[in-house]
Amino acid sequence: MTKLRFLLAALVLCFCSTLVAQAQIQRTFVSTTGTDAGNCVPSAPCRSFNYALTQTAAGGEVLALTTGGYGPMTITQSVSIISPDGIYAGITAFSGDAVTINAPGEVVVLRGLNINRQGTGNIGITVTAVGVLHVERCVVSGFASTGIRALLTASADIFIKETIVRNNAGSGISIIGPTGSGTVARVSMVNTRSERNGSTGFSFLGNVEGTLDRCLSSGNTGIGFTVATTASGTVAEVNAESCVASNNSSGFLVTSSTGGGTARLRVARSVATNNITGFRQFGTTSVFRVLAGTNLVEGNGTDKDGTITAVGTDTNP
Amino acid sequence: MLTLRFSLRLFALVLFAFTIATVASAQTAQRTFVSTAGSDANIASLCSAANPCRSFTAAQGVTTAGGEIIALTSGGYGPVEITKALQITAPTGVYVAITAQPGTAIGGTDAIRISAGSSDVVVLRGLTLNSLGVASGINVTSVGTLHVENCVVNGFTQNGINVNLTADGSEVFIKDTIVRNNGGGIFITTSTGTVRASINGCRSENNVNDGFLAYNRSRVTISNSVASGNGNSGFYALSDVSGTTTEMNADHCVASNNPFGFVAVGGKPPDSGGTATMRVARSTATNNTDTGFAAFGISFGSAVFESLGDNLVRGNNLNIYGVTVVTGQ
Repeated sequence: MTKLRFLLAALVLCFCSTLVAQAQIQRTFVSTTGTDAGNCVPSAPCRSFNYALTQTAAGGEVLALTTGGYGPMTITQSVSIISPDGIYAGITAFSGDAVTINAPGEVVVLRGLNINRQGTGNIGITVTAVGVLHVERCVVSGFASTGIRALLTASADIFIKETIVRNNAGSGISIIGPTGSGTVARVSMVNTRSERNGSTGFSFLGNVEGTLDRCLSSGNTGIGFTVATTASGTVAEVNAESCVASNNSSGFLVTSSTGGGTARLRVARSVATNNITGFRQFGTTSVFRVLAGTNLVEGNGTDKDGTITAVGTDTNP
Repeated sequence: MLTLRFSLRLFALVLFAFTIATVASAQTAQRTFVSTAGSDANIASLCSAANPCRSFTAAQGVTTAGGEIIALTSGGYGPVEITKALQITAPTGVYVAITAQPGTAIGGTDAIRISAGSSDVVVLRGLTLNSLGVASGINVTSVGTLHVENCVVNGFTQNGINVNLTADGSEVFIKDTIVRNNGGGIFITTSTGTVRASINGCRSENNVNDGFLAYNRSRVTISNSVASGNGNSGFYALSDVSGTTTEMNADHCVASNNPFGFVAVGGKPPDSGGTATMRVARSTATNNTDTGFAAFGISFGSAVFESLGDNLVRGNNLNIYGVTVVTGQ
């Protein structure tokens, strides 16, 4: 009996020391045949992104090894979540949000993920705080609210590349920058497409400095690209290059209907066709500038509405 | 003993009832899987990742409406008719083919037929469709919203992607897709109302007829796309039925080595009176053997061709015919 007790004690001690010794590692792995135990090494991968995150060092990465679903996750640290080419890593939200990012000052990368909704899933990627966010080659579809939403209270840098956001009941991509003095969301989007969403394709509010290159917004019930003011003193500014807006309510809209801040939209070498309104400026503190003569704005219900100012290539508007 | 027997009988009865209930509930899964090593008998396991099915058709039967089928291994998965909201995805790195031949094609003609409901969303992603003598790669007869992404459609005798609808209000999105060596490239029309399409990053090559054809009652916006070596027009807006309007807006597109580069044609005897509009910006038409940019209003039909004035239209037999230069914003 004494022997048994000793053995048990030894086992417990062993187990505890293992736990203590088990440091977070730089690279962890998940697989559909894995289990949520241990530290997610390639030979013993874990099953969910959420568990793997607890085993991943700050600034590390989580890799998906096999095709399948890995469940909703909450990110609070610097990390890269990666689905390599050849692997389909899905995240399906049956309720709530699929990916939640609340990581003040941290660097987060999402790459190659397919994020979708069944049942009552709310938002695809929701960001309340982050230092730098990269969304690369992701697909976000079918959510009851917004596809990708950043609702920020502090400055952040957001990069969205080669991503498709489609068939969400709310907006496709919504960036709501911080409103405090000296804070701003700096946004760069390249080759990103927002299609057939129930509200706006691309939406920018609050303090934002955004640049869009080769982005496409089509078939949305709301506006293709919109920049709007919120609180007094805020400046929302977006520059669009080689973008396309078709079959939306308005194609490109800048408005200062609420708040009292300033909204600016500049558009170059872009297209607005088959929208109810092509280019639209509304309100007294919003500015819509175009690179003179380079935009095709034809075949809309109304091509131009409000004050659209042409600027030359060498002019500083 | 009698009690035991009775209990056993009761157990059998309960088991029987349970089996019935299981069958009757027609369970489905949100995400199902197919593999070349799979078996369609695995519908009993709902085509899980561990027990994948062999064909898209079997997997569709156990996939929840709005769910998705994922292909796990490279190989062929056979023609499929999609009848509900569904996504079929081949991840990058997995070659997923559907080869259609007369004996296996849907209706003897199609690799994929889409006959879904008027609000259903269908997504095809990463598929390669091949023909051994049948008509269409993707033949769409009814759908709410269709997304075709990263697909290759090759060698069909008629249109590679044939969107031929009978209802109003459908939306079609085709992106990063190659359509080559078919009878025609991408064809879009409806017989009622309007069909709207957004085409981005596509290539239509060496098809017998047209590269991209916006036909009666379609509104197409196409960007960053190439039509080359086709047997008729590269980019074509055609209204040949009285009262129809058709529109194609092209940005950053290239048409080369076709007879016609970009063309709008309204009216065509004996049905005349349609209106076709083509608008082109930042695009190139070169080495087309007939005309680079052309608008033809035939009989009582009308055709409008608007150029933003920033296109390269050179080296064609005839460069422009009936083109109006419009001022950009």
